[in-house]
Order: sequence, then C-alpha cells, then structure tokens
Amino acid sequence: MYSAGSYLTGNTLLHRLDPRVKLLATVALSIIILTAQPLFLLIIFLGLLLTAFSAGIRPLLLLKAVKPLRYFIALIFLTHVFFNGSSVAGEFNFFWFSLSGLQTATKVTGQFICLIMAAVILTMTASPSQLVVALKYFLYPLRFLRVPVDDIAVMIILALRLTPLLVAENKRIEVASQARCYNLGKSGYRTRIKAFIARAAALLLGVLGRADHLAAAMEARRYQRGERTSAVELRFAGYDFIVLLFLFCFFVISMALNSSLR
Amino acid sequence: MAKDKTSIKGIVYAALFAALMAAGAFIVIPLPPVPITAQTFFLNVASVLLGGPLAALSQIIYVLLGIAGIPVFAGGKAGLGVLFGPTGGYLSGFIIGAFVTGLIAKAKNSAGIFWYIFAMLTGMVIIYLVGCLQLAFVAKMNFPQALLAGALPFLPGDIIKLLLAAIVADKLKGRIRS
Repeated sequence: MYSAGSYLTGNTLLHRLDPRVKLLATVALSIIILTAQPLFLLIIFLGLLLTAFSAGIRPLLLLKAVKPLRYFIALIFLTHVFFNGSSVAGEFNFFWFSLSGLQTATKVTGQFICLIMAAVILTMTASPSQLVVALKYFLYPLRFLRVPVDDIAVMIILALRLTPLLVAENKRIEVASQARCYNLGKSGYRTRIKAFIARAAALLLGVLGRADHLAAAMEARRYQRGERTSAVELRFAGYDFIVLLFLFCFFVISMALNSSLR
Repeated sequence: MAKDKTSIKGIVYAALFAALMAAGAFIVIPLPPVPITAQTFFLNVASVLLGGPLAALSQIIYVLLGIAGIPVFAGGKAGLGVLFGPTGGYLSGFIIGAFVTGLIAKAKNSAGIFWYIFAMLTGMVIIYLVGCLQLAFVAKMNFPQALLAGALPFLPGDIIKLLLAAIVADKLKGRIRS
C-alpha cells in the first residue's frame, strides 16, 4: 500500500540534492510537461527514466507506482479518442473515432504519465521529513498574511504519523467484525449500508478519542504554538546552485522551444 | 464545538481529519458495481463536524501531505504534479468545498440531517465545478466534455457517500467538544 512511491534510502547525487531544489524542479517540470509538444515530451520521458536510473530506482519500481492509475490513464485516453474528433465547438460526436483525437489522446496520456513519473521520483529520493521542511520554507512568505505556517507544519507531521495508524485501525475493525461473522458477500444494499455506517462510526469514534488524548497530552507537555525547530537541516551547497541554474536554463529553453513550435 | 482555530484540540482534529482523508484513499466502500473510496465521505463528515475554517485547514493539510509525497491522493497518487494535473482541481475544490459546507452546516444552531445534506450538496457542486474547470483546462477538453468525464461517472457514488456522511455526522455531532 505504501510501498509504491515511498522513500528509498540511498546516497546518490539526486538523494543529496537539497529538497527545496527537488520540489522546485518538480513544479517546473510539471509546467514544462503540460505545455510540451509530443517530440519534446518523449525527450522528457527518456530524461526522467535516466534520472530514475541515476537515483538507483529500477524501472520496475516506477511501473509499480504508475500501476494503480492504469484505469484513470485508460479513461483519459478513451475520452480523448472518442470525444475529441470533432473540430466544431459544442458539437458532440459520440463514438467518433479520428486521427486527431488519437493524437491528442496519446499526447495527453503521455503528459499524465510523465507527471506521475516526476512526482514518484521526487518522493522516492526525498524523505517525508525533508519535504515537510522544504514545504515549510516555501510557505514561509505566507506568514506575513498571518497564515500559521508553524502550526501547519506540526499538523502535517501529526497527519503523517496518524495516516498509517488509521489504515491499520480500519483493518483491525474489519478483521474484528469478520471474526464475528461479518460477511457482506451476498447481502443486499440495506445490510451493506447499515454495516458501513456502523463501521465508519466505530472508526471515527475510536479516532476522535485518540485525538482527544493526543490534545490532552500535548497540553500536558506545554505544547506552544509558534516557531519550532526541525531535525532536518537544509544546506544549500554549490552543487544545488548548479542544478538550480541548469533547471532555470532548461525551463526557459523549453518554454521558448514550445512557443516557437506552436 | 471546536470552533476556535487557535486551540490545540482544533489543530489535532484538523490533522486527524487530514489523516482520515489520506487513509480514505485506501478505505473502500463495498458497494456494487464499483467499489468507491471513502474520501469524500470523510471530507463531508469533517466539514460538518469541524466547521468552515478548521475543515478547510484539514483539507489544506491533506493536500500538503500529498505534495510532501505520501501517496494519499485517490488511486495512490502523490506530488505536486497531481495538483497541476488534470485531477488537481478536485483537490483545490476540496478546500473550498469543505470551507463552504462547514460554514453552512454551522450557520444553523440546531442543524439536523437535512440541513447537513443541503450543506454537503452545496460543497459537492463547488468541488465538481472547480475540478471540471481544471480538467477542461489541463486536458484540453471543453466544459461539457469535462463534465462528462470528470463528474458524471462519480456522481452516483458521491451522492451515496454524501447521504452516508450526513447520517454518520448526525450521529457523531455531539461527540466533538473543545
């Protein structure tokens, strides 16, 4: 469940890169990808594969991360093939198959896959705590709009800790009810809906109790809102600067290339 | 009720519902023909129970969690690319929708289940609107196409989840205190 796209420890160049630069690179890449022409997209795709390889991510792992999205990818592809054939605005040609539709479908699907790959490479080479610190760095200007950036960072960390617990808790309730002869295999809608409500209420009640305890514990330990320190220290080295410069050049060149090709 | 944005309990509750949203990507409601994830269910419960600002905050945390790289977006997606991708509009829609639903739900003092349903429906329309606009923009469809691909297939499931959420929220509404 959490294996696909989660952090892989390593000590490659990509792992050592400042998380802020990686986050920026992902944002820039997503903009480039969404405006890219087909040929350029292919280059980006190969570049992403190469990047993944250099970070020690095997292609099979990348494929595994994309796999849960296969239905959505198919949906995007099919809607473009079938609903994009007509050039007349506002006119619908249901099940109209056309070459231009196929072309757009391939391009949009390719863009989507590239986007996912970029995100997966980011999360596989930067640990969650590094990314939280990087996010906090970029959210920092929001402080002047009175956005509680430090509280948000604390909440992210809390949610990070709680998520796997909740998945486990849900599983526990499911197994417990199965042990008490809970079997929805052949039951009708009414039973299923009742069972779902019972299960959701049980989960939520348990979880709210947990939250109350946590809040009480934090208060008892005199948790104070405001600035906090982190175990992760951001260091912006010369190497990061080079990558950032390269990124900027790549961004400008690709933007210029795209507008000239159009 | 946990109205005060500054209370520690509010912080914990919002973080908790963000985590629930994240876990909701993996909690599947076994309703045939298509099993549906519990995410919008938790979204609706959170907005009604927490109220506008805290609910929006919980959604912001959820989105940030996804950006930080935990595969918490529907279908196990993660990353900033998703936010700018074809389905990213639903995520920003979650924040706005949760805020509006929470505001409406808390606007009435002794709100019952039908008021909750009304509040959730308003939020849902907002989520679909924002989601389909971005889908149309990113995937280069026109707006009717986007509605066809991005709203229609999910509508029945979302309505069921909305009703379930209203029932559960009504049961739990006395439970959240600050």
